[in-house]
Amino acid sequence: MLHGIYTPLSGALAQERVLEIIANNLANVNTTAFKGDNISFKLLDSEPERNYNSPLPPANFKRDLSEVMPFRGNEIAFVGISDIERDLSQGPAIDTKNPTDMMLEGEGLFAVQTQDGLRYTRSGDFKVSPDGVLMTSSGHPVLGERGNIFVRSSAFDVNHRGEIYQDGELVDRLRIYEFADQRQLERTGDNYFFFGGPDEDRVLSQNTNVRQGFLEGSNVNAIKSLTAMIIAHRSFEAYQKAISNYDKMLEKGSNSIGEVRA
Amino acid sequence: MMRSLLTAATGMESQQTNIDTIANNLANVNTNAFKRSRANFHDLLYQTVRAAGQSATTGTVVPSGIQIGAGSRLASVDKLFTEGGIKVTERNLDFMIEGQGFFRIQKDDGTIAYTRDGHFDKDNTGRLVTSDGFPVVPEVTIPQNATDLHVGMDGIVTVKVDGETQELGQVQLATFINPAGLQAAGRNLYTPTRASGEPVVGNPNQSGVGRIAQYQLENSNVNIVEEMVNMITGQRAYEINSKVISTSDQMLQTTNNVR
Repeated sequence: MLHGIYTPLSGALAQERVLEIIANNLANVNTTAFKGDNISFKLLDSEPERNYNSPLPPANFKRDLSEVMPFRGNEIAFVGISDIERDLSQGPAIDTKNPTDMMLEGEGLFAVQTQDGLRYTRSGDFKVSPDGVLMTSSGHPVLGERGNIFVRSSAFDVNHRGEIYQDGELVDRLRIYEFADQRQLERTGDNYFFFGGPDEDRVLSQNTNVRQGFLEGSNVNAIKSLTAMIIAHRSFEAYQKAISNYDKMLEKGSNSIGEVRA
Repeated sequence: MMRSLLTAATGMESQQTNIDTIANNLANVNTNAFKRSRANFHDLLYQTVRAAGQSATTGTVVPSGIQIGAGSRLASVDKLFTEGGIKVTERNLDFMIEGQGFFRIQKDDGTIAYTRDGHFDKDNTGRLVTSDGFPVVPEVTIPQNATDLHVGMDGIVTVKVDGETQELGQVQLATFINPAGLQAAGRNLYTPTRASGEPVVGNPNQSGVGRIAQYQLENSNVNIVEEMVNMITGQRAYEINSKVISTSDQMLQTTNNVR
């Protein structure tokens, strides 16, 4: 068999992944404080020695994209995903004039208490619960330095340091965390992030500003994403062409070689 | 099948609701005391292919994981209770609330509803009613031969009967901890829910419920320019997501044509 047919297949699968990422970015083009993903590829390493005809998968066979390479040879290269990296740049400021909307400027994230433990979010579309507790729009309490924040009504002021004042009195200060490496934050949906790393990698942020009456928009760039989509689409097509050419070669091989011509 | 097809479909669905919300805001651009709504979106669950922080080999840590998202969803449609503009009307039964409060209205089924629309009328018995005929609570009845109706900042209604000033009662206002949790019931009325909390009733110009201004009405807080911009971004976002669907479709078609 021709091993080469697996090379364009690995490319096509990678491009399909790209489209999935772009689809998620574009579906969230209006999601509050959404951070888009960028994908990067790597050349999957090939074995130094030749083991072309081994019928068994290689010893370091991984259950990921490299599954598409049941045979390895050092002259055949495959493509795989190395990273899906979040674009951590600041999203646009949207002026809502709503006192319970807050936007973060800087690297920090709000802390939220959910039934599954601490979560972090940049989405500041908060509400006040009937008990007067400041909550996210999914209904989980936002944490201040003293725990839940009791604001009693939606008439309060927040300064850039995240200190909440009501009727001239300091209610609490929003807990805003910064992480040594934000890439370690895992998404859990609902605009929340989970942090499973060591505590020393998480510190209270001093240089993240809070702006009341604003929301952070999604940082997805629609034009860039559309261009990337066109590239993914056409690359996918090209890989499919290569696959069908391999197929034609195999067809030639099986049907034409050895054919007796009169 | 391709995940991107379904992911883009969630995006289109979100944007559809976005446009629906904007359409209702724009339709109510001249509705008294109308509060605009805003659709909020969240991202959906992620499929974690490789978790961040895992060890790739002994001693090394994967710096960023591979998580593939499933699109977006509608998280909430919030009413934004910012104050609308002032419309001066010169009509003595037009009251506006300066502040957070709501007028209390008794509906025909006996329950109390809340409104910020202070465009009132007199019914055939002289009661102060909304334009749908629901009386204000507590009831204020205006005598037939009354003139010079006046409402103070504190909500006390006075009239002149045969040249003598007579006090008819006090209009009360209610506030809610979370007005965004009120349920819009149509006819400019709101009903309390578990999310809004119980109403706190107070006299105007006291206890933070707001003041009453006669001869004025509160306009809608819809800003046309803002809504138009939101509509453009909403429409384009919808379009872009449909493009993702057609691209996914074409990629599947290519696959089908390989052989």
